[in-house]
Amino acid sequence: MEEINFDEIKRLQNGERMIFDRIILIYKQRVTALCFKYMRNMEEALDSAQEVFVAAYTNIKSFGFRSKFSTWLYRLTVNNCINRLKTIKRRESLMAAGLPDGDGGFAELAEMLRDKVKLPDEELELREMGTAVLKELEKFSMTEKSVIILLDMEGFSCAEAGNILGMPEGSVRSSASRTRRKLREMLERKGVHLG
Amino acid sequence: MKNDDKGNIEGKSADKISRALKTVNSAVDGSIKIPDGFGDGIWKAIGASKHPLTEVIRNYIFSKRAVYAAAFFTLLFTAGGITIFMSHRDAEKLKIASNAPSIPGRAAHLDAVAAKKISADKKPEKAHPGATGAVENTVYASNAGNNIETASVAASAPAINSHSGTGGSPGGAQNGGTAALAGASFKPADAVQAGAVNKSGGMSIASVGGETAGLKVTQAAAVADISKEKEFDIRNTLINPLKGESVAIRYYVAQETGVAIRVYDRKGRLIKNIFNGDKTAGNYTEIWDGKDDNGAAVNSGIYIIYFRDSNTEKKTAVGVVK
Repeated sequence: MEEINFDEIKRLQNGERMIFDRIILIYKQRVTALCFKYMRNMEEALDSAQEVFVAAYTNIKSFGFRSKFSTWLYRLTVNNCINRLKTIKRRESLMAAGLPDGDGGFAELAEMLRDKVKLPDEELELREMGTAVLKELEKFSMTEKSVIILLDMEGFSCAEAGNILGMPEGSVRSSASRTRRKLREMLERKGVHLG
Repeated sequence: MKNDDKGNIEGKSADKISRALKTVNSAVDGSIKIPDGFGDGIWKAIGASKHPLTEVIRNYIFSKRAVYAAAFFTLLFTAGGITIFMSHRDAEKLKIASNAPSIPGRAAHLDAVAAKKISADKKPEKAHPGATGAVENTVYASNAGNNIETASVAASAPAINSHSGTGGSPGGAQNGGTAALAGASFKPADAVQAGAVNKSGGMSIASVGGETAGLKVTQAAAVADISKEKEFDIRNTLINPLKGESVAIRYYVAQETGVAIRVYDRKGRLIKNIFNGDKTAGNYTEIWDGKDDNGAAVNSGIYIIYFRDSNTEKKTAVGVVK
């Protein structure tokens, strides 16, 4: 994956603002996708992604070159999504108290996962299982959910996830193990066959 | 159990969950469509101008900020240095100006003898025969060298009149003579003595009044019994014209001669022509009030008092501060 180099970041920090256009170009897809995994709504994901880039621009001088720029940007993304989800939940609980949850925001995800072309059975099975896992994941804390998203979906290592979440690597590892075990138990109770 | 780099627990079930999530992730990533106005929305929120020329100019200026800062501080230090140098130089000038050469044994005498300027116009039609005409003598007395005191001395008119005999009639004022006496120098304490001289028929004042009737004499000869002055001397070498301070230029003329007293600035430009003409023998005092020939107060600085008579030429620096 393409990464912006530190020289460009320094130039951006020194006021060469056009560099930020390149940052948007390189990272907008990844940031928006990560936002979608939290928000499960494309409109919210795009708004959140834009907020992330604005925050990145505003705080670019605080980037200390101690990690990859993408790690720093993902940290902003995760924090922004968590805060935004908290705000949405608080607003929904105030405005629609007592109303049923509906599909829990998974309709758009299901539409995305609908096969546009003929897929092998195994692929279909995995997609269904993945959707079920994400639904179960909603019952976990934000940290546990973030660990699973970053490790199992985004493919980060425990160390990178720890950097993004601001946690020690060991804590990420133990949190991931605990969450996966609970997920497996919950899915088995629901009759999902895990092979 | 053993965790791998991603914290996966080895086992088929956990592996299948991970694979399922990766499958979902791939599907999601492939389905994300970013609208065209995504970047514009960000720039709008940032409020940044995207005009390339503006950016180029801004970036150029921003990149040169160290040069600008260096130039600014260089200018600042240079200006500071020049200011300090100028003030130091002015202080040196004033120091030089205030260190006027002192003449041993003269201070006491100068305290006793001060500059005097009398300007009295006696107009015949206004004068009354035998009237006691009060002639105001302005006396400049310098005590410590800087303070000039002014006192008025009323000279007894009968004493003058009795000696102003060129007109032939009693009371010299009736002759149409205009007498202006100046230069009789004495302290206020000496006024009585001066008056006594006049009353007792002091030869100087009386004779001047008589001989120069009809003329205006700006600086008259001093009382004859005052001892001979030094040839040239200046008191108050540092003055502030705004406070009414002035330079007293005293000189002695041994015999009738032409005298020139002028003020020049440091560049040699003539500032004021104080006196240019003939003087009879005697002590004189001229006053320079720190003004030029046009009557305007001169700027602060060093000025040269130039004195010349038939056998002497002197230059003395004086300081003017405002």
